[in-house]
Amino acid sequence: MPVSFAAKTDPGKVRTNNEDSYTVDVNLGLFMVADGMGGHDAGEVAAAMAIFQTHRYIAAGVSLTDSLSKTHQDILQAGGKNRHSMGSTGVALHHLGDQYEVGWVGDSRAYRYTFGTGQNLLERLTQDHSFVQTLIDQGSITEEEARVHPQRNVITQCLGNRSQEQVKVGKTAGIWRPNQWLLLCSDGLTGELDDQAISQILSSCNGSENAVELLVQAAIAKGGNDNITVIIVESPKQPSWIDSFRQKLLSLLPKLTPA
Amino acid sequence: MQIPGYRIIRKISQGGMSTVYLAEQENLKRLVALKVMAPALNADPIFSERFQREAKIVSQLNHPNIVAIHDIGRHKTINYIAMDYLEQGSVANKIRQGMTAKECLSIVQQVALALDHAHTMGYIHRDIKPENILLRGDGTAILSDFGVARAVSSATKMTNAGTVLGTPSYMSPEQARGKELDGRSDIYSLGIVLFEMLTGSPPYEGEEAVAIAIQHLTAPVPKLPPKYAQLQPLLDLMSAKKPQDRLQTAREVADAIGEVLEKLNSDGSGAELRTRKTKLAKHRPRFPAWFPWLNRNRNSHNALNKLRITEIQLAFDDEALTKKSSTKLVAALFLLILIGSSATAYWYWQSYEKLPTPVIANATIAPGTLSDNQDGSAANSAGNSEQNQPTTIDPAAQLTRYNLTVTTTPENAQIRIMNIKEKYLPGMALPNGKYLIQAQATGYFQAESWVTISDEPKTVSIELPPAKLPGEVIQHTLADGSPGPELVVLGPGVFVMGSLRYSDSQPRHEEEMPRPFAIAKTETTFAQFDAYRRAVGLPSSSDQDWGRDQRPVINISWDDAQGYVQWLAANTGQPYRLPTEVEWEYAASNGGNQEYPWPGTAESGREQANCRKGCRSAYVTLFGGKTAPVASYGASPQGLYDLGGNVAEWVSSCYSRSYQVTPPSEAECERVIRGGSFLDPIEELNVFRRDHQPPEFLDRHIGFRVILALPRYSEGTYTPEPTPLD
Repeated sequence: MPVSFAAKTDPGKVRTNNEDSYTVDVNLGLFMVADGMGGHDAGEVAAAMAIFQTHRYIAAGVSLTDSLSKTHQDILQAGGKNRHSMGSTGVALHHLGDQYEVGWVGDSRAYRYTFGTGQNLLERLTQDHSFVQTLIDQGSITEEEARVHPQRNVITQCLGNRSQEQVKVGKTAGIWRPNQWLLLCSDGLTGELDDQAISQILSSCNGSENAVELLVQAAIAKGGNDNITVIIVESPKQPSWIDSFRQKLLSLLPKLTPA
Repeated sequence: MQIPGYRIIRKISQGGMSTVYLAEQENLKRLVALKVMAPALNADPIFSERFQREAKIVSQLNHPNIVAIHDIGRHKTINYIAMDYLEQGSVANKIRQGMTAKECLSIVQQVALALDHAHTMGYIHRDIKPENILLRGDGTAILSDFGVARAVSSATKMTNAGTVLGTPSYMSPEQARGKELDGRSDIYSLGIVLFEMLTGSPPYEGEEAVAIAIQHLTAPVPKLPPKYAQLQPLLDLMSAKKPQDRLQTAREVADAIGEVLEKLNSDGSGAELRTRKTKLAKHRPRFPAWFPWLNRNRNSHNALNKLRITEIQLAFDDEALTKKSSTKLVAALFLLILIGSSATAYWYWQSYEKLPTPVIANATIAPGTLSDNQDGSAANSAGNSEQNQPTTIDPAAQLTRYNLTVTTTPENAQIRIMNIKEKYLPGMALPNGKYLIQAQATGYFQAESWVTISDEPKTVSIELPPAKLPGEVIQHTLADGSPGPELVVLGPGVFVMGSLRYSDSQPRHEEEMPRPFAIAKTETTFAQFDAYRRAVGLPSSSDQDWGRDQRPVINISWDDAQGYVQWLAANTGQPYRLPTEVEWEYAASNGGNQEYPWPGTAESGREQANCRKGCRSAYVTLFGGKTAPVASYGASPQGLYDLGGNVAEWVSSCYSRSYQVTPPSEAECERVIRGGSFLDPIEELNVFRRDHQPPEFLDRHIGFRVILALPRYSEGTYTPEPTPLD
C-alpha cells in the first residue's frame, strides 16, 4: 500500500546546532526520530548513529525492538572508543501492510490522530522514559506539574546510556484504520505544546504537509527552546467511497445551513 | 588546556559538568582549586550565562564556612572559577574513613551556619551532599559548589542518563516534585548527609536514580541505628517529608545541634534531645508546626478536627500573622470559611459554643423546617450532606434541657454526637434541637441517625448492621419474594485511576473510596429488568432475537437504567444505584492492580470474555456477534463476571474529555459507558477505556450493572491493605 507522509526538523530559536535526526524509508516502512545528547558534536553523532544503525537492522529483517537494543550496544561501543559519552532517544514506526509497530527509548513520542468521524481524537501511543513520567505514574505529580518541573528534560533511558547494559525498549502495535495519522516527534515539540494544543493544530490543518509546518511554527512561537522534529505518516487505508462521500456531505452542511 | 594567569598542576576530580584542577595562581603564587565547566556545556548559552551569574552571587557570600572564590572568568569558550584549595578533601572521603558522632554534628552545625548566611542572602544551595562539604586541617567545614546545581537543573539535558538526576541521594521531596524551593529543602538534604555521616551510607538506595528520588518522596524518615537513637529526633526535625514539619531555619538547626553538643561535652551520656524539644516548645509556642509530636495527641479521628488543626497551623506559619493574637484568630477563622461549607458550618458551631446566646444559623435549618425530616429518610439525607449541620435551638426553650438516652444493638456500641462538642453520656441533658447520633461497634457498619429533642426526654434505639467484609456476598429479597441481584463487597481503598492509553483517560491520579460498596456479580439480566417493566407497566425492549432471561438487558437508555435502580432501591429499601466511573474502574482493575478485568495481559483474557476479536467466544461469528447469557465466561479474582465484553455498561458519571476537565452540568452531559462489548477486540476491554453517549441513547451493545452503597465500617472492623507503590 502506498503511504503518504510529511516531515520537518528545525533547530529552534535557542540552539545553534540540531541534535535531532530523522529518517523516512517508504519502501521499508520505517519512520524514525532521534534526539541526540552529548558534548561537542556527540549529540549529533549519536542521533545519526541511532537512525543509521536502526535502519540497517530493520533492512536486515531484525525486529523493531531488537533493532533498537542492538543500536544501543553499537552507540555504547562507539562512545567507549572515543571515550565520549553520548546518547540518543529514538522513536520508530515500522509498518507492514495494514499493521504497524512503534518502539521507543527516551522521551521522543508517537501519537495517533484519528479524524473525520465527527470527533477528532489524539492519543499518546508512547510513555516517556523520563523522570517526570515516573513521578506521574507513581502519583507524585500531575501532568501540569510535570510541564514546569525543572527536571522535565531528564530522561531515564537512552540509546547509548553507559549505566545501562540493556535498554528497555517500549513497544506498542496497532492496525491502520482509515482517517488516521501517526505522528512521531522529539521533545522540542512536546516541551512547548501540550496534547491539547497539538490536537487543536491537527484538527485545524489543511493536510499533513501543512500540519507539520504549523506544529513546528507553533513550537517556535512558544519559545523554540530545543530542536524540533515532527513526522506525520498517513494511514495507507483509504476511507470507503461511502465514507468519503458522507464526509463531503457533512463538510458541505455548515455552508448550506444559514448562519 | 591553558588559562592565562594559572598554571595547572593536576586534575583533582572530574564530574559530569565540571573538572576541578589543582592550579597555581601565578601572580600570587598561591594554590587554588580551579573549577572548569565541561566544554560541552559551554555550547549551551543558557547554561553559560547562568553559570557566570550564579558564580557572581556566590562571590558575594562572605562566611567562614563558605568557600572563598578568588576569581571567576571566561577564557575563549572555557568558563572557570578559582577558589580556595582545601587539601583535606571532602566529607565524602572522610565518611569512608569513619567519623565520630561529635565530628558529624560539628560539621553539620557549621554547614547549617553557612546555610543560614546564604539563606539570609536569599540564596538556596540546592545540592547539599558530602562531596560539596570540604574540610580544612583544623576540622573546619567549608560549603562549596553554590548555585551551580541550580544552573544545572534547569534547561539542560544531561549527557548520561545515569547521572541525569543530579544527586537524587540527597534530594528533598519538594525538589523531586519540582516545586519552588526554599531554605528548608537544604535542611532536608543536610539531614540526609548527617545520616550518611553517622552510618556510612545514604538512607535510600536503589538501582535506578528514579527509585531513590521516589523513596525521598514516600519512604519514612530513615531510622538511625540504636546507638544513635538520641539523635533520631534531630534527624526527624531536619528530614521530615513536609517542609512545615522541619526546623524552619538553618539557624534553628545550628542551635539545636549546639545544645546536643553541649550535653555531649558536659555529661558524655549522649545528649537528651528531649529536654531540648520541650524547651524549644515552651520558648516558641506559636510555631506548632515545628513540633510534630505536639500535634500527635491532638490528632482526632474527626476529619474536621484534623482540617482545623492544619488550617490554623497554616495561619500560624505566616510570620506576619503571629504578631497579635486577635489577628491570628481572625486569620484562622477566615481560612476556615474559605475551606468550604463544612468548615462554614463548623464556624457557626464554634460561634455558638463561644457566644452567650445561640446563633440561629439561617432559614433553611431553622427549627420549624427541621422537624419535617426526622424519620428514616432523614438518615439518608444526612449521610449525603455530611454530618456537620449546626444544632439550632429555639431561643425561648434554650434553658430547659431534656435527657437523651441511646440504646444500641449490639449493646456495647460507642456513641458520638457529631454536631456538638460534648461527649455522649447515657441520659445526658440536652436543649431542644436536632442531633446527629453516630454509633460504632467493631464488626459492624457505622450507623448514623438524626434525633430531635423537643420538649421531652428522648430514648432512641439504633441497630447497627453487622459488617459485610470485602469479598462477602450480599443478596436482598424483592417485595414479591424473588431474589435480588447477587453483589460482592469491595473497598474501601485508594487506587490510581486512569492510563496514558487514551487522551480522555489521563491524567493518572489517585482516587479514594472511604466507604465500601457492593457491586453486582453480573450485568442486569432481561429477567431482572422485565420484572421492573411489568411492575411499572413499561413496554419491553428488543432482544434482537438473541433471547431474554439470563441474557443481559440491552436496548435500554441510561435513563431506563436509572429508572431500574431507583425502582430496585424503593422495592428493597436499600440504596441501590448505578456505579460511578471511579467505582467501576476500581472494581474492574481489582483496586488498580490490573489493566484488564482479569490479571495479566489482554491475551490472558481469551477465556474470560465475549468479544469480537481475540476472545474464544462462541457468540461471535464472522457475520457479527451477540450477547452471551451472563456469567458464561470466567469470573474475575473478586468473583465478578463480564466486566469486559458481552455488553458495555452505563455508569452514572458524566463524560468529559479528560479527568481534569469538568464535565457539563448533569442535565446536559453525556454518560460514560465502560467495559467494551461483544463488538470490540479484546485489547479494547481494558479497564481504562471510556465510551460515552447521551442519556437517551440506546443500542444492542449497551447494558448496565447495579451497585449497593454501604455505610462506613466501624473503627477496627476492617483495615485496607496498604496501597502498593508501582
